[in-house]
Amino acid sequence: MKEKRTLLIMCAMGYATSTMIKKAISDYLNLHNIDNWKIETTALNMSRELVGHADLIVSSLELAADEYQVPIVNGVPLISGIGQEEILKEIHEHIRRIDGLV
Amino acid sequence: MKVQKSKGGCIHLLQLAGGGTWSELLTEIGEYAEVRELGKKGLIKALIERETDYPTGLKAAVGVAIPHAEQVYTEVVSMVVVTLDEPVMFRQMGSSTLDVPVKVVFLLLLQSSARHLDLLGAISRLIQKKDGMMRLINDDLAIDMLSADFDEYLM
Repeated sequence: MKEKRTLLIMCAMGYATSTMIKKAISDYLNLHNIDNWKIETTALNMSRELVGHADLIVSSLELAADEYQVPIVNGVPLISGIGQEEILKEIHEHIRRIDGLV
Repeated sequence: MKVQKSKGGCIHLLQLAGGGTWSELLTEIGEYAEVRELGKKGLIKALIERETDYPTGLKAAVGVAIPHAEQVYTEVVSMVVVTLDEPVMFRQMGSSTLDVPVKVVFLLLLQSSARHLDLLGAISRLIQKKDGMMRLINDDLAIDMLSADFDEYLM
């Protein structure tokens, strides 16, 4: 079996907003039968090693995109609900591209 | 200040005047939590530092903020929900420039992340619903709604 890709969710403390984002994304992945991605959550200052394994990063923080090798998506709409659909579509697009489907 | 507690005792619903700065408000709420030993000494400073570096204001169904500190500052796993007569400006989560007028604050005092997955999901769903948030702000029985929705996750 192919190794799963990693969607890394990053927030300041690693337990609150990242967990809220995780819930929204895992519901979406289930709904769309995307099972070759695993979701990890982490705190910003603990994330160095995990970032190396990540294929896609979603964060509630303002991250400098040029410091990362993989796409960064702003996950705040997944907590507030405002603009949630657009962000989920954006994440889906990244996943399709990374999986080589588009 | 009006205070109500949920049936399980882990949710405190406060009504405060608001109108000041976010750091004044976090000091007031943090003091409430420290005095009642929901949070440990140093909670206020930790909340303010965290909010400065990583703001938690959200433009949801109404403006909300979800301040929280490192888990070491949690004495009792609990949640202090605060409704404000006058909004307080918070910096928006994920932004270094945008502010949002906040009407409801959820101070999260949590411990293990796995155990609170459902709680955090439920908070996220609540803040996205206009009717639920209006009830929280206006309804005298809002504490019963909070008891029904969240108590089980905090026991």
